[in-house]
Amino acid sequence: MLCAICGKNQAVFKLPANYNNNLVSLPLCEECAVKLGFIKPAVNHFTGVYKTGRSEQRVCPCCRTTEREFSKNGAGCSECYKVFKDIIKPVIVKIHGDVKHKTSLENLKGDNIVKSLEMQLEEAKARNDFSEAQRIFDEIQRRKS
Amino acid sequence: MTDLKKHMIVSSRVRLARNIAKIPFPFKMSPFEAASVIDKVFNALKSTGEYNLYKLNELSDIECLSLKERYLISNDLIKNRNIGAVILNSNETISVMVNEEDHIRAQCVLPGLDINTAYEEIKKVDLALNSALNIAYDDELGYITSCPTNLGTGLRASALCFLPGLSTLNDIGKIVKSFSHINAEVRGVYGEGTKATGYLYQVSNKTTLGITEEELVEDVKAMVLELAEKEVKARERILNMCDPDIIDNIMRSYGILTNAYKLTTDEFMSLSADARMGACLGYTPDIDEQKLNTLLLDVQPATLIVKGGKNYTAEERDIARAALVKRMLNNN
Ligand SMILES: [Zn+2]
Ligand SMILES: [Zn+2]
Repeated sequence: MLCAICGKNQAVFKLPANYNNNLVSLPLCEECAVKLGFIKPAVNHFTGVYKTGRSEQRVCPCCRTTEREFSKNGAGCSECYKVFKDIIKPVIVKIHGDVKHKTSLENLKGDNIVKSLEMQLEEAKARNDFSEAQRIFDEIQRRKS
Repeated sequence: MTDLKKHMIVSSRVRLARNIAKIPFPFKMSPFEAASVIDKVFNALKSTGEYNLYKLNELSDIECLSLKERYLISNDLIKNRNIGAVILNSNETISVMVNEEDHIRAQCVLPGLDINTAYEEIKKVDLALNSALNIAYDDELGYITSCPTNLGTGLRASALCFLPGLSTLNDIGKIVKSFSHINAEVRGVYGEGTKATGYLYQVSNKTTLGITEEELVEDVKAMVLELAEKEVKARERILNMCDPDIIDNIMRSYGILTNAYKLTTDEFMSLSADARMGACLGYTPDIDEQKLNTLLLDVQPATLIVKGGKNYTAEERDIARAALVKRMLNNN
């Protein structure tokens, strides 16, 4: 299906929209959708971090993103941020400055969550909800490991 | 009586970006992984409150568009329609988009200047997510997000401000510049098709990494309060100018808004902005802020259809819209 706006590119999705006071389902290409302000432009901040000729081609063990793909499409999953940490760092400094994460939500850190889960576990046991208790128990084990 | 401080801050919003560790980001995930993320997020939330789940591929075009018109979902979620879902609380102040750019985009929107309460509400959602799910987190980078611009707190705090005075006098740039040391930015709100929508500006934090959630909320509030103070002065100056063109434009707009038999959405947007300006300067009868804010959502075409329960044609919608506006604005 062709894009309803430019009539040239293939449409990548259909957007229900109020267009010229008519409710229509507009087939749109990425370019026109961005140009009309319908969606955010897809900016990959990691463009160009891969240097051709680099001897080893690293791959994220979790989502199988290669270093070359990372440079083209960005991170494929949270693990990519660990695998490609060295080439990511300068990009992050450019965006945010040379800073580390700061938070006022200390209660969301590991220990407190385990404590809260242990309380939920006791509650689940008390109301004989064993499948829920098992789920919480597994979650606690996973977090402790 | 004229109250130059009225009609200033339309709404406050706080949104969080979160992802589940070791599951590909939405642009790379399989339909199976997408369905499992939707289940996980809904299960994490439903034990903490009254939430409803809507999978986008099970909704009609009109229902999707109406959710979009009410700012409960984004077009980027509609773009991911086959894998996307939204979870809403009963009064629709909290909306959690699943599988948009990140696995989880949770937002709380409240009327007026109330960023702190919105933040407290979203904190509860965050705690529920963090206790039930393995949320991707790194000690140095904070919460891991698909796009690096959201790393750290993953938090965006914002306020939607109505600034007719500053925007008429062209003063916003100057104020923002004098406040450049603060982590906040101001952007004009543009409608789709990039038409500016009536003196509305969004104030939000610039960065998300290396600043705590509380600092970030305070910075946005400081910028909003500065703009609000200067806006009052700008409104005073406009009143003192007694510019016949400005006054005439406001009164004409008010006249059409409250008397027309047919109104398109675009007409409503621009006329209501003028009428709101008239109300805060005292040139036209006051308009209840909450009523007007509700109207801004309810007159949108798909929402008119969803709430009216009728499949109006374009012309019928314009008639229904004008009738709704008349009904709402005439019983102040
Ligand atoms: Zn196109
Ligand atoms: Zn990966």
